[in-house]
Amino acid sequence: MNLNATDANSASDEELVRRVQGGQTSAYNLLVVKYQHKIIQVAQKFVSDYADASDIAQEAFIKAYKALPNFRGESSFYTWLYRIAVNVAKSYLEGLSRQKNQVDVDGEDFESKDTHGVLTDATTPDRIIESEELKKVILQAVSELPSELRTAFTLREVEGLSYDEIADAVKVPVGTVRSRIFRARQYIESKMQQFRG
Amino acid sequence: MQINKSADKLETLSANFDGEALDKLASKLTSHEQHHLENWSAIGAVLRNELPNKTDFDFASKVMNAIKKDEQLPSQDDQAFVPQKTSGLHFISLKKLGIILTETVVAASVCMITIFGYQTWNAQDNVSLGNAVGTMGTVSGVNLASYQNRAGGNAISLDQNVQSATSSHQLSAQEQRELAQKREQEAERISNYLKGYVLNTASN
Repeated sequence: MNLNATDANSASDEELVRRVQGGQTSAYNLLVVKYQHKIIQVAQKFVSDYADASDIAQEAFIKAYKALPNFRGESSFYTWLYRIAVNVAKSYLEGLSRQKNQVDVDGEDFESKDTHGVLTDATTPDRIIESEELKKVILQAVSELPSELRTAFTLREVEGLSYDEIADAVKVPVGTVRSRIFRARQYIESKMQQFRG
Repeated sequence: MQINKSADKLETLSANFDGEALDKLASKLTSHEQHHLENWSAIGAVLRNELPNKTDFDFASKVMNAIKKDEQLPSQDDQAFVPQKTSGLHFISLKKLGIILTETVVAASVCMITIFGYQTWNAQDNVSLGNAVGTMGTVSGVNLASYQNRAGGNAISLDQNVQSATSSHQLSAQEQRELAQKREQEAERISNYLKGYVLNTASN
């Protein structure tokens, strides 16, 4: 990711944070959607189990939301969120070792809930799938995109350029960039739906 | 027409997802729109190689639902939590106060018993006559002046009596012993009187 891309990302994050601080909860939804996979990956460096990592990530996002009114933007939102996730993961591990030492845990009870209050609802059928096949489908779909869509889309998703920067780079209006990126997403999504049935 | 509107809305959402056109960000998203956001997030994560070994397409919804629940409950949580903590503090402070009061009462009682006991012990000689040494007053009914002013043969005038006695006739050995014994007793009474006076003054 180049410097401009980082700046563009930070700027949009700052704007989203300002909106959340102003009471627009849907802006936080965008931040969660944007960083969920990265934060789960961070959590998986501490716990190998995906469900545990997902719980840690959820708690990190919830804590970040509660602390967001005090976020002064001295670091980027992601750096701040990363620190929260690391702290939650460490606390999780400490809680786990304490439980192992102190409590004689009944196996079934222990699996139904985590140690941090974020409940893993075993009765809700999660839309969780193995990523390996999904990756193949998505990469295949990207390779099938018309070149103008693929260029705009990869400049946005891989290089992290803003719409203005992409418009400058490919010499088309911003509206066209916006449309190309959306169409690329629609195509890839349609392939994902076929894969998932 | 309806399809075009929906497509436009989704295109705007796609731009919002990229941090663009945020002034058009809807305050509430439908589950259909949320579903698209989750898909687009997974697509981007695959291209950047950020996708974990599993993908939860409900992750953001779960987080936002948990936040919503939290926001609905805060006052109940606060009410449930704060009074418990406060009542706990009250309980602790009352307990401490009770202990301090008890200790004070016990200490005061011990002091009073000691003082009264001491004075009672020294108040056997209940003689109170005269006011020659009025400024010193009496302690437990004993007045130093009473011994000096008492009329009668039992009054002891210390050296004066001894001198007059020795001048008029010679004392036998038995009488001398008795006299010495009485002197000692008198000296002890005076000493006790002074101690009692000091304690009495201090307790006042």
